[in-house]
Amino acid sequence: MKNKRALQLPRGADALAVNEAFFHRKVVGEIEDLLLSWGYLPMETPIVDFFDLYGNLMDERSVDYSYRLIDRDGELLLLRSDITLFMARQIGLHLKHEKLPLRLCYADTILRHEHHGDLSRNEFFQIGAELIGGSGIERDTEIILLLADVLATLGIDARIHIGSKALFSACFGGLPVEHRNKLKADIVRRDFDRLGEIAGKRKKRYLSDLFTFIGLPAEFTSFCRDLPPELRDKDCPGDELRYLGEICDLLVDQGHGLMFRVDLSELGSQAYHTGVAFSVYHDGVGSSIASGGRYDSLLRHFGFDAPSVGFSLFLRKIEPFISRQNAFIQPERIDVPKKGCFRDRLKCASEIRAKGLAAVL
Amino acid sequence: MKPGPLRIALPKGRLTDILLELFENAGYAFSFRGRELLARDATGSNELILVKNTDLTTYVSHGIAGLGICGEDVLYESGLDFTCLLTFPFGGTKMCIAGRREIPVPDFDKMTSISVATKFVRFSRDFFHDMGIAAEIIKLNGSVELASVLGMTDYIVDLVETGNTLKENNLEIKAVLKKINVHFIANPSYYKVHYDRINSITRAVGRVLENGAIDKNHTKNEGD
Repeated sequence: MKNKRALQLPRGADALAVNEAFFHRKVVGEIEDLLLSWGYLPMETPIVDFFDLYGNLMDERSVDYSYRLIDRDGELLLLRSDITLFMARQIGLHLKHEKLPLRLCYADTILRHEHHGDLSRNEFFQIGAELIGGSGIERDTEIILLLADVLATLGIDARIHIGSKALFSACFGGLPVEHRNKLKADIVRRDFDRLGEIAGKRKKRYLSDLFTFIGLPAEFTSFCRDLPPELRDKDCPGDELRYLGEICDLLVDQGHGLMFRVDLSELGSQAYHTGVAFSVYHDGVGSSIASGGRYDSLLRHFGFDAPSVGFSLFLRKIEPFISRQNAFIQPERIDVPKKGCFRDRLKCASEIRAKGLAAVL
Repeated sequence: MKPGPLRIALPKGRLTDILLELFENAGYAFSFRGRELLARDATGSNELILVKNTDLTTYVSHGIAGLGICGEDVLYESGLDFTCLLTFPFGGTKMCIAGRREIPVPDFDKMTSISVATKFVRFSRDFFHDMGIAAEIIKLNGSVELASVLGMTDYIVDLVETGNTLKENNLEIKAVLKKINVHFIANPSYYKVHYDRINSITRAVGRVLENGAIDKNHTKNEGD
Protein backbone atom coordinates (compact mmCIF):
# COMPACT_ATOMS: atom_id res chain seq x y z
CA MET A 1 0.00 0.00 0.00
CA LYS A 2 1.38 3.43 -0.95
CA ASN A 3 2.31 5.75 1.89
CA LYS A 4 0.08 8.80 1.35
CA ARG A 5 2.46 10.91 3.44
CA ALA A 6 5.08 10.47 0.75
CA LEU A 7 2.78 12.38 -1.61
CA GLN A 8 2.07 15.26 0.77
CA LEU A 9 3.83 18.22 2.27
CA PRO A 10 2.87 19.56 5.69
CA ARG A 11 0.47 22.47 5.33
CA GLY A 12 2.38 25.63 4.53
CA ALA A 13 5.66 23.99 3.52
CA ASP A 14 7.38 24.82 0.26
CA ALA A 15 9.47 22.81 -2.15
CA LEU A 16 11.05 23.60 -5.50
CA ALA A 17 11.39 21.21 -8.41
CA VAL A 18 14.70 21.02 -10.28
CA ASN A 19 14.16 23.74 -12.88
CA GLU A 20 12.51 26.06 -10.36
CA ALA A 21 15.32 25.51 -7.89
CA PHE A 22 17.96 26.27 -10.52
CA PHE A 23 16.18 29.46 -11.55
CA HIS A 24 15.73 30.52 -7.94
CA ARG A 25 19.42 29.95 -7.11
CA LYS A 26 20.56 31.92 -10.17
CA VAL A 27 18.31 34.84 -9.28
CA VAL A 28 19.55 34.83 -5.70
CA GLY A 29 23.12 34.79 -7.00
CA GLU A 30 22.49 37.76 -9.29
CA ILE A 31 20.93 39.79 -6.48
CA GLU A 32 23.75 38.92 -4.12
CA ASP A 33 26.27 40.07 -6.72
CA LEU A 34 24.40 43.34 -7.05
CA LEU A 35 24.27 43.86 -3.29
CA LEU A 36 28.00 43.14 -3.12
CA SER A 37 28.60 45.78 -5.80
CA TRP A 38 26.97 48.29 -3.44
CA GLY A 39 29.26 47.17 -0.61
CA TYR A 40 26.81 44.91 1.24
CA LEU A 41 28.34 41.77 2.72
CA PRO A 42 26.34 38.66 3.55
CA MET A 43 25.36 37.69 7.07
CA GLU A 44 23.70 34.49 8.24
CA THR A 45 21.32 34.11 11.16
CA PRO A 46 20.23 31.07 13.15
CA ILE A 47 16.89 29.50 12.25
CA VAL A 48 15.72 29.41 15.88
CA ASP A 49 16.26 31.66 18.83
CA PHE A 50 14.77 32.31 22.25
CA PHE A 51 11.31 33.81 21.94
CA ASP A 52 11.62 35.99 25.02
CA LEU A 53 14.38 38.04 23.36
CA TYR A 54 11.97 39.19 20.67
CA GLY A 55 8.48 39.03 22.19
CA ASN A 56 8.48 42.68 23.29
CA LEU A 57 9.66 43.83 19.88
CA MET A 58 6.87 42.14 17.96
CA ASP A 59 3.33 43.42 17.62
CA GLU A 60 0.34 41.15 18.17
CA ARG A 61 0.07 40.25 14.50
CA SER A 62 3.76 39.31 14.25
CA VAL A 63 3.45 37.07 17.30
CA ASP A 64 0.30 35.48 15.86
CA TYR A 65 1.98 34.50 12.61
CA SER A 66 5.18 33.22 14.19
CA TYR A 67 5.92 29.56 14.83
CA ARG A 68 7.04 28.79 18.32
CA LEU A 69 8.24 25.52 19.82
CA ILE A 70 9.49 24.11 23.09
CA ASP A 71 12.98 22.67 23.01
CA ARG A 72 14.19 19.65 24.97
CA ASP A 73 15.14 21.88 27.90
CA GLY A 74 11.70 23.45 28.10
CA GLU A 75 12.76 26.72 26.52
CA LEU A 76 10.28 28.55 24.29
CA LEU A 77 11.91 29.10 20.91
CA LEU A 78 10.94 31.25 17.94
CA LEU A 79 11.40 29.96 14.41
CA ARG A 80 12.85 32.73 12.27
CA SER A 81 9.93 34.86 11.02
CA ASP A 82 11.79 38.12 10.37
CA ILE A 83 15.45 38.13 9.43
CA THR A 84 15.96 41.78 10.42
CA LEU A 85 15.04 40.92 14.01
CA PHE A 86 17.40 37.96 14.14
CA MET A 87 20.17 39.97 12.50
CA ALA A 88 19.76 42.74 15.07
CA ARG A 89 20.58 40.30 17.85
CA GLN A 90 23.55 38.83 15.97
CA ILE A 91 24.91 42.29 15.28
CA GLY A 92 24.61 43.14 18.96
CA LEU A 93 26.46 39.92 19.83
CA HIS A 94 29.26 39.88 17.27
CA LEU A 95 29.63 43.20 15.50
CA LYS A 96 29.19 45.90 18.09
CA HIS A 97 32.84 46.84 17.97
CA GLU A 98 32.89 47.14 14.19
CA LYS A 99 33.25 50.54 12.59
CA LEU A 100 29.97 52.04 11.43
CA PRO A 101 28.22 52.13 9.06
CA LEU A 102 27.90 48.42 8.44
CA ARG A 103 26.42 47.26 5.17
CA LEU A 104 24.94 43.78 5.49
CA CYS A 105 22.74 41.57 3.35
CA TYR A 106 21.01 38.23 3.68
CA ALA A 107 19.12 35.61 1.71
CA ASP A 108 17.28 32.96 3.66
CA THR A 109 14.03 31.29 4.56
CA ILE A 110 11.50 32.48 7.11
CA LEU A 111 8.35 30.84 8.42
CA ARG A 112 5.11 32.73 8.97
CA HIS A 113 1.69 31.23 9.59
CA GLU A 114 -0.18 33.66 7.39
CA HIS A 115 -3.74 32.46 7.87
CA HIS A 116 -5.24 29.31 9.31
CA GLY A 117 -7.79 28.92 6.56
CA ASP A 118 -5.38 29.57 3.74
CA LEU A 119 -3.57 26.60 2.28
CA SER A 120 -0.89 28.72 0.61
CA ARG A 121 2.77 28.50 1.59
CA ASN A 122 3.90 29.62 5.02
CA GLU A 123 7.55 29.30 4.07
CA PHE A 124 9.00 32.41 2.44
CA PHE A 125 12.37 33.30 1.02
CA GLN A 126 13.57 36.73 2.08
CA ILE A 127 16.45 38.58 0.49
CA GLY A 128 17.39 41.96 1.84
CA ALA A 129 19.87 44.54 2.96
CA GLU A 130 20.47 46.51 6.15
CA LEU A 131 22.45 49.73 6.50
CA ILE A 132 23.52 49.80 10.14
CA GLY A 133 24.59 53.03 11.76
CA GLY A 134 23.82 56.59 10.83
CA SER A 135 20.62 58.36 10.00
CA GLY A 136 19.64 61.07 7.60
CA ILE A 137 18.58 61.49 4.06
CA GLU A 138 21.64 59.94 2.44
CA ARG A 139 21.26 56.65 4.28
CA ASP A 140 17.52 56.44 3.70
CA THR A 141 17.85 57.29 0.02
CA GLU A 142 20.70 54.82 -0.45
CA ILE A 143 18.62 51.89 0.77
CA ILE A 144 15.61 52.90 -1.33
CA LEU A 145 17.78 53.28 -4.44
CA LEU A 146 19.39 49.91 -3.73
CA LEU A 147 15.94 48.31 -3.62
CA ALA A 148 15.05 50.06 -6.88
CA ASP A 149 18.25 48.75 -8.43
CA VAL A 150 17.43 45.17 -7.39
CA LEU A 151 13.99 45.43 -8.98
CA ALA A 152 15.37 47.03 -12.15
CA THR A 153 18.06 44.36 -12.47
CA LEU A 154 15.39 41.67 -12.38
CA GLY A 155 13.21 43.59 -14.82
CA ILE A 156 10.39 43.85 -12.26
CA ASP A 157 7.91 46.61 -13.11
CA ALA A 158 6.80 47.47 -9.58
CA ARG A 159 5.96 50.59 -7.62
CA ILE A 160 7.68 51.62 -4.40
CA HIS A 161 5.29 53.42 -2.05
CA ILE A 162 7.07 55.62 0.47
CA GLY A 163 5.55 56.91 3.68
CA SER A 164 6.66 57.67 7.18
CA LYS A 165 6.10 56.15 10.60
CA ALA A 166 7.61 59.36 11.98
CA LEU A 167 4.75 61.32 10.39
CA PHE A 168 2.22 59.13 12.17
CA SER A 169 4.12 59.46 15.48
CA ALA A 170 4.26 63.24 15.07
CA CYS A 171 0.48 63.40 14.68
CA PHE A 172 -0.55 60.80 17.26
CA GLY A 173 2.44 60.19 19.53
CA GLY A 174 0.55 61.50 22.56
CA LEU A 175 -2.07 58.75 22.42
CA PRO A 176 -1.90 55.63 24.62
CA VAL A 177 -0.13 52.75 22.86
CA GLU A 178 -3.26 50.66 22.42
CA HIS A 179 -5.16 53.53 20.76
CA ARG A 180 -2.16 54.32 18.59
CA ASN A 181 -1.91 50.73 17.36
CA LYS A 182 -5.62 50.58 16.52
CA LEU A 183 -5.47 53.93 14.76
CA LYS A 184 -2.44 52.82 12.74
CA ALA A 185 -4.30 49.71 11.60
CA ASP A 186 -7.32 51.88 10.70
CA ILE A 187 -5.23 54.27 8.61
CA VAL A 188 -3.60 51.40 6.74
CA ARG A 189 -7.13 50.13 5.97
CA ARG A 190 -8.23 53.69 5.11
CA ASP A 191 -10.97 53.49 7.72
CA PHE A 192 -11.23 56.84 9.46
CA ASP A 193 -14.24 56.45 11.75
CA ARG A 194 -12.05 56.00 14.84
CA LEU A 195 -9.96 59.00 13.81
CA GLY A 196 -13.07 61.14 14.04
CA GLU A 197 -13.74 59.91 17.58
CA ILE A 198 -10.19 60.68 18.65
CA ALA A 199 -9.39 63.90 16.81
CA GLY A 200 -12.81 65.51 16.34
CA LYS A 201 -14.61 66.24 13.06
CA ARG A 202 -12.51 69.18 11.87
CA LYS A 203 -9.16 67.54 12.42
CA LYS A 204 -10.52 64.26 11.05
CA ARG A 205 -11.04 65.85 7.64
CA TYR A 206 -7.56 67.16 7.15
CA LEU A 207 -5.84 64.24 8.87
CA SER A 208 -7.75 61.78 6.69
CA ASP A 209 -6.81 63.87 3.62
CA LEU A 210 -3.20 63.69 4.79
CA PHE A 211 -3.03 59.95 5.40
CA THR A 212 -4.95 59.01 2.26
CA PHE A 213 -2.53 60.82 -0.04
CA ILE A 214 -0.97 58.66 -2.76
CA GLY A 215 0.74 60.23 -5.74
CA LEU A 216 3.81 60.89 -7.80
CA PRO A 217 6.55 63.04 -6.28
CA ALA A 218 5.37 66.07 -8.27
CA GLU A 219 1.81 65.55 -7.00
CA PHE A 220 3.16 65.33 -3.46
CA THR A 221 4.90 68.68 -3.88
CA SER A 222 1.60 70.29 -4.93
CA PHE A 223 -0.22 68.52 -2.12
CA CYS A 224 2.17 69.87 0.51
CA ARG A 225 1.91 73.37 -0.91
CA ASP A 226 -1.89 73.25 -0.57
CA LEU A 227 -1.97 71.87 2.97
CA PRO A 228 -3.76 73.87 5.65
CA PRO A 229 -1.42 75.93 7.82
CA GLU A 230 -2.07 73.62 10.79
CA LEU A 231 -0.13 70.91 8.99
CA ARG A 232 2.23 72.83 6.74
CA ASP A 233 3.81 75.29 9.11
CA LYS A 234 4.06 73.33 12.32
CA ASP A 235 7.31 71.61 13.26
CA CYS A 236 5.39 68.39 13.30
CA PRO A 237 4.22 67.01 10.96
CA GLY A 238 5.64 69.69 8.63
CA ASP A 239 9.21 68.47 9.25
CA GLU A 240 8.32 64.91 8.31
CA LEU A 241 6.59 66.04 5.14
CA ARG A 242 9.58 68.17 4.15
CA TYR A 243 11.88 65.20 4.74
CA LEU A 244 9.81 63.03 2.42
CA GLY A 245 9.89 65.81 -0.13
CA GLU A 246 13.69 65.88 -0.01
CA ILE A 247 13.88 62.12 -0.54
CA CYS A 248 11.55 62.50 -3.54
CA ASP A 249 13.77 65.21 -5.02
CA LEU A 250 16.78 62.89 -4.84
CA LEU A 251 14.86 59.97 -6.36
CA VAL A 252 13.55 62.10 -9.22
CA ASP A 253 17.04 63.45 -9.74
CA GLN A 254 18.26 59.87 -10.21
CA GLY A 255 15.65 59.28 -12.89
CA HIS A 256 13.35 57.10 -10.78
CA GLY A 257 10.42 59.49 -10.51
CA LEU A 258 7.88 57.19 -12.16
CA MET A 259 8.79 54.14 -10.06
CA PHE A 260 7.92 55.84 -6.79
CA ARG A 261 4.76 57.02 -5.14
CA VAL A 262 4.52 59.02 -1.96
CA ASP A 263 1.92 57.13 0.06
CA LEU A 264 1.21 58.54 3.49
CA SER A 265 -0.71 55.43 4.56
CA GLU A 266 2.61 53.53 4.53
CA LEU A 267 3.35 53.53 8.26
CA GLY A 268 5.85 50.69 8.56
CA SER A 269 5.11 46.98 8.26
CA GLN A 270 6.88 46.16 11.53
CA ALA A 271 6.44 47.47 15.06
CA TYR A 272 10.12 48.51 15.22
CA HIS A 273 9.95 50.96 12.31
CA THR A 274 10.48 54.57 13.40
CA GLY A 275 11.05 56.77 10.33
CA VAL A 276 10.75 56.46 6.58
CA ALA A 277 8.74 53.34 5.65
CA PHE A 278 8.06 51.78 2.26
CA SER A 279 6.42 48.83 0.56
CA VAL A 280 6.58 47.55 -2.99
CA TYR A 281 3.59 46.42 -5.03
CA HIS A 282 3.33 44.54 -8.30
CA ASP A 283 0.27 43.99 -10.46
CA GLY A 284 -0.87 40.39 -10.18
CA VAL A 285 0.53 39.80 -6.69
CA GLY A 286 -2.06 39.89 -3.91
CA SER A 287 0.26 41.28 -1.25
CA SER A 288 3.33 43.50 -1.08
CA ILE A 289 6.48 41.99 -2.59
CA ALA A 290 8.93 43.91 -0.42
CA SER A 291 8.95 46.27 2.51
CA GLY A 292 11.36 48.17 4.65
CA GLY A 293 12.08 51.27 6.62
CA ARG A 294 14.10 52.98 9.25
CA TYR A 295 14.39 51.42 12.70
CA ASP A 296 16.38 53.59 15.07
CA SER A 297 15.71 51.84 18.37
CA LEU A 298 15.86 48.14 17.52
CA LEU A 299 19.56 47.43 17.97
CA ARG A 300 19.55 49.25 21.31
CA HIS A 301 17.60 46.28 22.70
CA PHE A 302 20.59 44.11 21.89
CA GLY A 303 23.20 46.36 23.45
CA PHE A 304 24.22 48.19 20.29
CA ASP A 305 22.79 51.63 19.75
CA ALA A 306 22.85 52.12 15.99
CA PRO A 307 20.05 53.80 14.02
CA SER A 308 19.50 51.68 10.92
CA VAL A 309 17.47 51.28 7.75
CA GLY A 310 16.83 48.30 5.50
CA PHE A 311 14.48 46.31 3.30
CA SER A 312 13.49 42.74 2.57
CA LEU A 313 12.08 41.26 -0.59
CA PHE A 314 9.88 38.14 -0.87
CA LEU A 315 11.67 36.57 -3.79
CA ARG A 316 9.28 33.70 -4.55
CA LYS A 317 6.40 36.16 -5.02
CA ILE A 318 8.17 37.91 -7.88
CA GLU A 319 10.04 35.10 -9.62
CA PRO A 320 7.21 34.49 -12.10
CA PHE A 321 7.38 38.15 -13.14
CA ILE A 322 11.13 38.43 -13.72
CA SER A 323 11.33 39.67 -17.29
CA ARG A 324 14.78 38.30 -17.99
CA GLN A 325 13.72 34.68 -17.68
CA ASN A 326 16.11 33.67 -20.48
CA ALA A 327 19.06 34.97 -18.49
CA PHE A 328 18.50 32.27 -15.90
CA ILE A 329 18.09 29.15 -18.02
CA GLN A 330 20.22 26.11 -17.36
CA PRO A 331 23.46 25.97 -19.38
CA GLU A 332 23.74 23.34 -22.05
CA ARG A 333 25.04 20.04 -20.67
CA ILE A 334 27.27 17.91 -22.86
CA ASP A 335 27.11 14.13 -22.43
CA VAL A 336 30.65 12.76 -22.39
CA PRO A 337 30.95 10.12 -25.14
CA LYS A 338 30.69 6.62 -23.67
CA LYS A 339 33.92 5.27 -25.18
CA GLY A 340 37.13 4.31 -23.56
CA CYS A 341 37.67 3.57 -19.91
CA PHE A 342 36.37 5.64 -17.01
CA ARG A 343 39.71 7.47 -16.71
CA ASP A 344 39.45 8.55 -20.36
CA ARG A 345 35.92 9.81 -19.86
CA LEU A 346 36.98 11.78 -16.75
CA LYS A 347 39.75 13.44 -18.79
CA CYS A 348 37.29 14.27 -21.57
CA ALA A 349 34.84 15.78 -19.04
CA SER A 350 37.60 18.01 -17.58
CA GLU A 351 38.44 19.29 -21.06
CA ILE A 352 34.78 20.13 -21.71
CA ARG A 353 34.45 21.93 -18.36
CA ALA A 354 37.65 23.90 -19.04
CA LYS A 355 35.78 25.44 -21.98
CA GLY A 356 33.08 26.67 -19.59
CA LEU A 357 30.52 24.01 -20.47
CA ALA A 358 28.81 21.47 -18.23
CA ALA A 359 29.91 17.88 -18.80
CA VAL A 360 27.83 14.90 -17.70
CA LEU A 361 29.57 11.51 -17.24
CA MET B 1 1.63 47.51 -21.11
CA LYS B 2 -2.14 48.11 -21.04
CA PRO B 3 -3.52 47.41 -17.55
CA GLY B 4 -6.01 44.55 -17.23
CA PRO B 5 -9.66 45.06 -16.31
CA LEU B 6 -10.61 46.01 -12.76
CA ARG B 7 -12.42 43.00 -11.35
CA ILE B 8 -15.14 43.41 -8.74
CA ALA B 9 -16.64 40.49 -6.79
CA LEU B 10 -20.32 40.74 -5.94
CA PRO B 11 -22.13 38.41 -3.56
CA LYS B 12 -24.74 36.17 -5.13
CA GLY B 13 -28.02 36.87 -3.41
CA ARG B 14 -30.51 39.57 -2.70
CA LEU B 15 -27.99 42.41 -2.92
CA THR B 16 -26.94 41.53 -6.47
CA ASP B 17 -29.65 43.40 -8.36
CA ILE B 18 -29.35 46.54 -6.21
CA LEU B 19 -25.60 46.61 -6.70
CA LEU B 20 -25.88 46.13 -10.45
CA GLU B 21 -28.34 49.02 -10.52
CA LEU B 22 -25.95 51.12 -8.44
CA PHE B 23 -23.03 50.49 -10.77
CA GLU B 24 -25.18 51.20 -13.81
CA ASN B 25 -26.23 54.53 -12.33
CA ALA B 26 -22.54 55.25 -11.71
CA GLY B 27 -21.76 54.69 -15.37
CA TYR B 28 -20.65 51.05 -15.20
CA ALA B 29 -23.22 48.80 -16.83
CA PHE B 30 -22.72 45.06 -16.54
CA SER B 31 -25.00 42.32 -17.80
CA PHE B 32 -24.65 38.60 -17.28
CA ARG B 33 -25.58 36.28 -20.12
CA GLY B 34 -27.52 33.21 -19.06
CA ARG B 35 -25.80 31.54 -16.11
CA GLU B 36 -22.44 33.20 -16.66
CA LEU B 37 -20.72 34.31 -13.49
CA LEU B 38 -18.45 36.89 -15.15
CA ALA B 39 -19.50 40.02 -17.00
CA ARG B 40 -17.60 42.93 -18.53
CA ASP B 41 -18.78 46.47 -19.00
CA ALA B 42 -19.01 48.02 -22.46
CA THR B 43 -15.48 49.45 -22.28
CA GLY B 44 -13.97 46.11 -21.27
CA SER B 45 -12.05 47.92 -18.54
CA ASN B 46 -14.09 46.53 -15.71
CA GLU B 47 -15.35 43.05 -14.82
CA LEU B 48 -17.85 41.71 -12.36
CA ILE B 49 -17.87 38.22 -10.94
CA LEU B 50 -20.64 36.66 -8.87
CA VAL B 51 -19.40 34.59 -5.94
CA LYS B 52 -20.79 32.94 -2.85
CA ASN B 53 -20.97 35.53 -0.09
CA THR B 54 -18.68 33.65 2.28
CA ASP B 55 -16.10 33.05 -0.47
CA LEU B 56 -15.88 36.69 -1.49
CA THR B 57 -13.09 37.62 0.91
CA THR B 58 -11.00 34.69 -0.33
CA TYR B 59 -11.18 35.93 -3.92
CA VAL B 60 -10.30 39.49 -2.89
CA SER B 61 -7.57 38.43 -0.47
CA HIS B 62 -5.81 36.52 -3.26
CA GLY B 63 -6.19 39.44 -5.63
CA ILE B 64 -8.25 37.38 -8.10
CA ALA B 65 -10.90 40.03 -7.67
CA GLY B 66 -9.22 43.24 -6.63
CA LEU B 67 -12.45 44.72 -5.32
CA GLY B 68 -15.50 43.32 -3.57
CA ILE B 69 -18.71 44.18 -1.81
CA CYS B 70 -19.72 42.33 1.32
CA GLY B 71 -21.08 42.65 4.80
CA GLU B 72 -19.02 43.42 7.84
CA ASP B 73 -19.97 40.00 9.23
CA VAL B 74 -18.17 38.22 6.39
CA LEU B 75 -15.20 40.60 6.63
CA TYR B 76 -14.86 40.06 10.35
CA GLU B 77 -15.13 36.27 10.17
CA SER B 78 -12.43 36.15 7.50
CA GLY B 79 -9.89 37.75 9.84
CA LEU B 80 -8.27 39.33 6.80
CA ASP B 81 -7.30 42.95 6.19
CA PHE B 82 -8.86 44.91 3.37
CA THR B 83 -8.85 48.51 2.26
CA CYS B 84 -12.18 50.22 2.98
CA LEU B 85 -13.48 52.23 0.05
CA LEU B 86 -17.11 52.96 0.94
CA THR B 87 -19.83 52.03 3.37
CA PHE B 88 -23.23 51.59 1.74
CA PRO B 89 -26.37 53.09 3.31
CA PHE B 90 -28.35 49.99 2.29
CA GLY B 91 -28.09 46.27 2.88
CA GLY B 92 -27.17 46.70 6.53
CA THR B 93 -28.46 44.55 9.32
CA LYS B 94 -27.84 43.81 13.00
CA MET B 95 -25.86 41.16 14.83
CA CYS B 96 -28.01 40.15 17.77
CA ILE B 97 -28.12 37.74 20.64
CA ALA B 98 -31.47 35.98 20.71
CA GLY B 99 -33.17 33.22 22.64
CA ARG B 100 -36.49 31.71 23.72
CA ARG B 101 -38.95 34.16 25.26
CA GLU B 102 -38.64 32.65 28.73
CA ILE B 103 -34.85 33.01 28.77
CA PRO B 104 -33.76 36.25 30.47
CA VAL B 105 -31.92 39.07 28.74
CA PRO B 106 -28.23 38.35 29.38
CA ASP B 107 -26.65 40.78 31.84
CA PHE B 108 -23.18 41.19 30.35
CA ASP B 109 -21.97 43.15 33.36
CA LYS B 110 -22.65 40.27 35.73
CA MET B 111 -22.14 37.20 33.54
CA THR B 112 -18.89 35.26 33.75
CA SER B 113 -19.68 32.65 31.11
CA ILE B 114 -22.13 32.01 28.28
CA SER B 115 -22.94 29.29 25.78
CA VAL B 116 -24.08 30.34 22.31
CA ALA B 117 -24.71 28.69 18.95
CA THR B 118 -23.73 30.72 15.91
CA LYS B 119 -22.31 30.87 12.40
CA PHE B 120 -20.18 33.79 13.53
CA VAL B 121 -17.57 32.14 15.70
CA ARG B 122 -14.85 34.77 15.53
CA PHE B 123 -17.24 37.66 16.17
CA SER B 124 -18.93 35.90 19.09
CA ARG B 125 -15.64 34.86 20.68
CA ASP B 126 -14.14 38.35 20.43
CA PHE B 127 -17.34 40.10 21.57
CA PHE B 128 -17.72 38.05 24.74
CA HIS B 129 -13.99 38.01 25.51
CA ASP B 130 -13.92 41.82 25.21
CA MET B 131 -16.71 41.82 27.82
CA GLY B 132 -14.64 39.53 30.06
CA ILE B 133 -17.05 36.64 29.56
CA ALA B 134 -15.83 33.09 28.91
CA ALA B 135 -17.76 31.79 25.90
CA GLU B 136 -18.58 28.29 24.75
CA ILE B 137 -19.22 28.66 21.03
CA ILE B 138 -21.08 25.95 19.10
CA LYS B 139 -20.59 26.45 15.39
CA LEU B 140 -23.55 25.91 13.08
CA ASN B 141 -23.76 26.66 9.39
CA GLY B 142 -27.46 27.44 9.08
CA SER B 143 -30.91 27.47 10.78
CA VAL B 144 -29.15 28.60 13.92
CA GLU B 145 -32.54 29.34 15.54
CA LEU B 146 -33.04 25.60 16.02
CA ALA B 147 -30.22 25.48 18.57
CA SER B 148 -32.24 27.66 20.93
CA VAL B 149 -35.62 26.14 20.02
CA LEU B 150 -34.35 22.63 20.82
CA GLY B 151 -32.43 23.70 23.93
CA MET B 152 -28.90 23.03 22.68
CA THR B 153 -28.02 26.51 23.90
CA ASP B 154 -30.08 29.23 25.58
CA TYR B 155 -28.74 31.86 23.23
CA ILE B 156 -27.84 32.24 19.60
CA VAL B 157 -25.82 34.98 17.90
CA ASP B 158 -27.06 35.71 14.41
CA LEU B 159 -27.85 38.41 11.89
CA VAL B 160 -31.36 39.77 12.29
CA GLU B 161 -33.18 41.96 9.82
CA THR B 162 -36.95 41.90 10.29
CA GLY B 163 -36.94 39.37 13.12
CA ASN B 164 -39.73 37.37 11.49
CA THR B 165 -37.88 34.05 11.61
CA LEU B 166 -37.21 34.53 15.32
CA LYS B 167 -40.84 35.41 16.04
CA GLU B 168 -42.15 32.44 14.10
CA ASN B 169 -39.95 30.17 16.22
CA ASN B 170 -40.97 31.80 19.53
CA LEU B 171 -37.60 33.44 19.90
CA GLU B 172 -36.87 37.10 20.52
CA ILE B 173 -33.94 39.49 20.28
CA LYS B 174 -32.34 39.89 23.69
CA ALA B 175 -29.80 42.53 22.68
CA VAL B 176 -28.27 44.13 19.59
CA LEU B 177 -24.56 43.46 19.66
CA LYS B 178 -23.44 45.40 16.59
CA LYS B 179 -24.79 47.19 13.56
CA ILE B 180 -23.53 45.42 10.45
CA ASN B 181 -22.93 47.48 7.34
CA VAL B 182 -22.10 46.54 3.77
CA HIS B 183 -18.75 47.73 2.50
CA PHE B 184 -16.97 48.25 -0.79
CA ILE B 185 -13.51 46.82 -0.17
CA ALA B 186 -10.24 46.35 -2.02
CA ASN B 187 -7.30 44.03 -1.74
CA PRO B 188 -4.71 46.36 -0.15
CA SER B 189 -1.98 45.55 -2.67
CA TYR B 190 -4.37 45.76 -5.63
CA TYR B 191 -5.50 49.15 -4.34
CA LYS B 192 -1.93 50.44 -4.23
CA VAL B 193 -1.30 49.38 -7.84
CA HIS B 194 -4.63 50.63 -9.25
CA TYR B 195 -5.50 53.42 -6.80
CA ASP B 196 -6.30 56.02 -9.44
CA ARG B 197 -8.81 53.80 -11.30
CA ILE B 198 -10.27 52.50 -8.04
CA ASN B 199 -10.67 56.00 -6.61
CA SER B 200 -12.42 56.98 -9.83
CA ILE B 201 -14.99 54.19 -9.60
CA THR B 202 -15.40 54.77 -5.86
CA ARG B 203 -16.12 58.46 -6.41
CA ALA B 204 -18.65 57.67 -9.12
CA VAL B 205 -20.47 55.19 -6.88
CA GLY B 206 -20.25 57.61 -3.96
CA ARG B 207 -21.91 60.36 -6.02
CA VAL B 208 -24.82 58.06 -6.86
CA LEU B 209 -25.28 57.28 -3.18
CA GLU B 210 -25.13 60.95 -2.20
CA ASN B 211 -27.77 61.78 -4.79
CA GLY B 212 -30.06 59.21 -3.17
CA ALA B 213 -30.58 57.36 -6.44
CA ILE B 214 -30.57 54.10 -4.55
CA ASP B 215 -33.18 53.91 -1.82
CA LYS B 216 -31.48 53.20 1.50
CA ASN B 217 -34.49 51.10 2.46
CA HIS B 218 -33.23 48.39 0.13
CA THR B 219 -32.37 46.49 3.29
CA LYS B 220 -32.01 43.16 1.54
CA ASN B 221 -29.45 40.89 3.09
CA GLU B 222 -28.95 37.16 3.62
CA GLY B 223 -29.86 37.44 7.33
CA ASP B 224 -33.47 37.56 8.51
